[in-house]
Amino acid sequence: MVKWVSTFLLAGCLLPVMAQVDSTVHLNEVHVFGMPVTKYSPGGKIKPVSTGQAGTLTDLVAQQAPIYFKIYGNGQLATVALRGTSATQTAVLWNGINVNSPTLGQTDFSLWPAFLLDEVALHYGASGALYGSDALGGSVLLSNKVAAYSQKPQLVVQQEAGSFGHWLSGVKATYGTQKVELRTKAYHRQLQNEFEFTSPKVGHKKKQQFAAVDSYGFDQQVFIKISDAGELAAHAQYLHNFREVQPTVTSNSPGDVLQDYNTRLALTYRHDFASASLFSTVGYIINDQHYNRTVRTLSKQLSTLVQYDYTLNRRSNVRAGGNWSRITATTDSYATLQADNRFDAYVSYRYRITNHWLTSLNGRQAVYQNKTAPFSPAWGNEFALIKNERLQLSLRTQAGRGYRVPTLNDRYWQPGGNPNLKPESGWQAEAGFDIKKKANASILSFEATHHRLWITDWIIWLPTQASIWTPANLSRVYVSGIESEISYQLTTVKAKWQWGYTYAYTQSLNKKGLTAFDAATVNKQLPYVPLHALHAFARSEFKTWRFEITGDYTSKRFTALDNAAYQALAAYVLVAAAVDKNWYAGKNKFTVRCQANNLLNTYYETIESRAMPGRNFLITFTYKF
Amino acid sequence: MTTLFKNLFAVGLLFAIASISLSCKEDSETPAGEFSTGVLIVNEGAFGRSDGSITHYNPDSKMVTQDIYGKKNDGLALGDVVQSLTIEGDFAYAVVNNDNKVVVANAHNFQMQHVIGSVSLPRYFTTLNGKGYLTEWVNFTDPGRVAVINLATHTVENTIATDYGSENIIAANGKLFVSNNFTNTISVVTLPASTATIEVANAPGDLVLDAEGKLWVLCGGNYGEENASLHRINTTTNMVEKILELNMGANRLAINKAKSQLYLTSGIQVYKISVTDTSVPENSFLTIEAAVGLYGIGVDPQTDEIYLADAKGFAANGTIYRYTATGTLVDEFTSGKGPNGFVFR
Repeated sequence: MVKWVSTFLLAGCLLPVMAQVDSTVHLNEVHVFGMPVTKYSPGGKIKPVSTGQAGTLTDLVAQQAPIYFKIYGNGQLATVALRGTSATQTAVLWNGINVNSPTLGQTDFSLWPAFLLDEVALHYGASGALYGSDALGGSVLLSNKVAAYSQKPQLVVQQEAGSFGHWLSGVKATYGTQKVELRTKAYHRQLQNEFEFTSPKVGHKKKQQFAAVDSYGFDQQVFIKISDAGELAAHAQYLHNFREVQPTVTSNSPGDVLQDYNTRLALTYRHDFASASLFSTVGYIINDQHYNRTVRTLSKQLSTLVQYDYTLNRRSNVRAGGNWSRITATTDSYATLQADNRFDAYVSYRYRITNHWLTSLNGRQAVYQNKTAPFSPAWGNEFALIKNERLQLSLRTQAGRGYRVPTLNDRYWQPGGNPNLKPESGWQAEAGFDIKKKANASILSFEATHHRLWITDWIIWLPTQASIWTPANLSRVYVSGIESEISYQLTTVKAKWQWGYTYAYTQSLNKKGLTAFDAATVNKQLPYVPLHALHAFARSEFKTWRFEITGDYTSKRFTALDNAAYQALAAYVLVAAAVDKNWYAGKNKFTVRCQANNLLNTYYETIESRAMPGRNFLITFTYKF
Repeated sequence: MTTLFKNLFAVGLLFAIASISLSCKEDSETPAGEFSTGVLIVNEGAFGRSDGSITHYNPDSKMVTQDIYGKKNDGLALGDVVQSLTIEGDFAYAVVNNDNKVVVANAHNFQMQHVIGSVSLPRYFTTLNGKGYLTEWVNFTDPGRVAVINLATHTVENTIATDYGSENIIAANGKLFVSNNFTNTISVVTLPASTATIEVANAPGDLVLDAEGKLWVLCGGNYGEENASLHRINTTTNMVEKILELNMGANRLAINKAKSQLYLTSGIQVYKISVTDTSVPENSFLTIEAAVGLYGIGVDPQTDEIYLADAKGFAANGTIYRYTATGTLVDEFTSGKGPNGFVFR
């Protein structure tokens, strides 16, 4: 039953954007806490992101959805904001643990190489009940592939070479027995980054300097099948990223140097009972950042989680869990080492009321440093109105709350940090529908979602009377938007074709002035939130060939809260194309992928005055055994 | 062939420009331009965004023109953190701190003329006896300095060592006085290159001269502590003659037309202090309730009107408030990002 339900959910929610062309192929099912992420979130919008491409997590997400990233230059700091919110209002979970920096409250997506990622999914919208702090605009879920215990050793060797001195060498190996599976990954990436650009702010062609990146990382996963019912898994990751911080377009001098050392460890145990399953994990995350080789910010996070999922009957399931995290951090700007203890308790209930109506209720309460986070409920529904071989139509609704606990910097930065800050809080409602129409050789999918989000107590840093910058729960923001997707696929005797688009309209309005008398910023679009974003794609597969072309349109973005038009960043169109060719020899597979990005050679910026590269090329050789 | 043609064309163009500019010089000695009168507002811009700009304001028509440098130079950016602007003769010197440069523009039409590179974290600029003097922080670990600029060639001739965080610079009594913002000192430069040091309080910043030629220094005090102070320096003896403890934070200083009344900003308040006062008035002269934080102040030396800049925490473009000398609001308008100062033409 559960299996059937989850399959149905996946079909309803995930199919439109799945990368695989063949509908019978196993879907890119994403697991968090050992469960498909969709289990307790009917009515929510969850999209898998196909992995295995070049670049970083930024590239994976940006190449598949019209989601706006602030990218501070090629291969540089990249932060995401889903649905018109901010980077700190996006939860990023790794093995179910929130890995946003405890000091800054956000994740630099450029520090996650695509090569190391197994499964990635985006959960749009506020879902504090499911993921805890930071899940206001959305959540990014990074998880491991379920172990297959296939005993077949696998080896992947990858070499990338690209414009501006991009080199990546990576190796992945999977090996094991019926009881043990081991996966080892390692990579090294270099980017010289001396691209040419023609910013109007500079007035002549200029070569970018002082923006080199060098990173390497190791990743080890171990899965042990202790019994038919129990599995122990360990995941260890160590990444080092060195980068010269790309200076602004007008600068001719070297900027800062940032070195990030990230260590992530997770130990999980899962046990399946007759009608229940137990999941527990212990994680330890160390973020160590060196600024200009001298100033060090070090945070350590110990997280534990226990969760019990029980099948009450054919129609209903219940889940209860709790987690505890202890975070410590030191920087030059804290008076002493700062610590934060967080406790979360959550419960979820799911009930299939009829064969056509699935509902779910969730609730979470978090406590941190003797303060109470806003109680976060969520209620989701999925109505399957038409459900037959040829046509599927379902409606979904979701309402819930999200919150963000103030970061350690917000609370303890010296001077200015404000320990009395309240968490940010947002209420969200969304509704949408999915249609899938199948013909003999084709599938047409369409979906649309309307969402609204009211955020209060948004934390803003402003100078005080004594000219000290300090954060306060100042802003209120109202977001409303429409997202829609179309995908059409056609299978002919010789080839498979697929095309589609994803569009997002996002109005994110500031509802409260900087002071009681400030009207200039009220009802204005938040900076760096494009009103329109469109991602279109066309793919075809022909024997051992695969062709792909994508286009992205991003409308203008304001850079100031008063929306001065002359300062807005210009709208841009990016076009990219790729060709893959596979060769097979027995068990060996050899793939060459040639990719051309920004074919129109558009000069664009995603954050003011940080140049992005023009037309560039990437070639990837992959050998699989 | 094409290259040859291009070169010939360029040479021809140069001749044409040269002859036009020569004829202009013959026609009128001081060519008036759009920006030869009025008020110029320095918008430093948000750090790391290269969105510093100059706003022009016509006090008669109340017309505001944003980013005049960009407008007159096909969208060129002035740069990252435009700390200050100084007009000397036909040239405007825009000091661009985080781009390590000084942009030299035509003071009348703001077309770009030169860029002085090879300076490090420059802050303020002044001239004395036909030479330019530019303060530089250099970096955050070494002492600052003053670069001596040849105004004909727009190159750095040599440098004079000062103290950490060399900030404002003012010529008085034939000497140069430099506030060293990371310390508690004022450097006195007697040209060509001898220096003396005057001890004041922490974080000396803005400098103004009163009617008697005394130098007033605003010291911000310790960051986060409300202990700013005013120091009066005798520019002949280099001695501190008077100290006024403000018992509050204060960041900017200006003096009225008669050079007898000091104005200083503290948060959203403006205090008015006579140069003869022995204590600080209890009540502020102005409180700008709508402001986030005042970041710049200037007094029009012709009208005695007071201009105040609210930088809005760099989240939005700044707001400029224009008041009469008696404290009546005349006008209010939007500037660029992070307005920090005024130049009156």
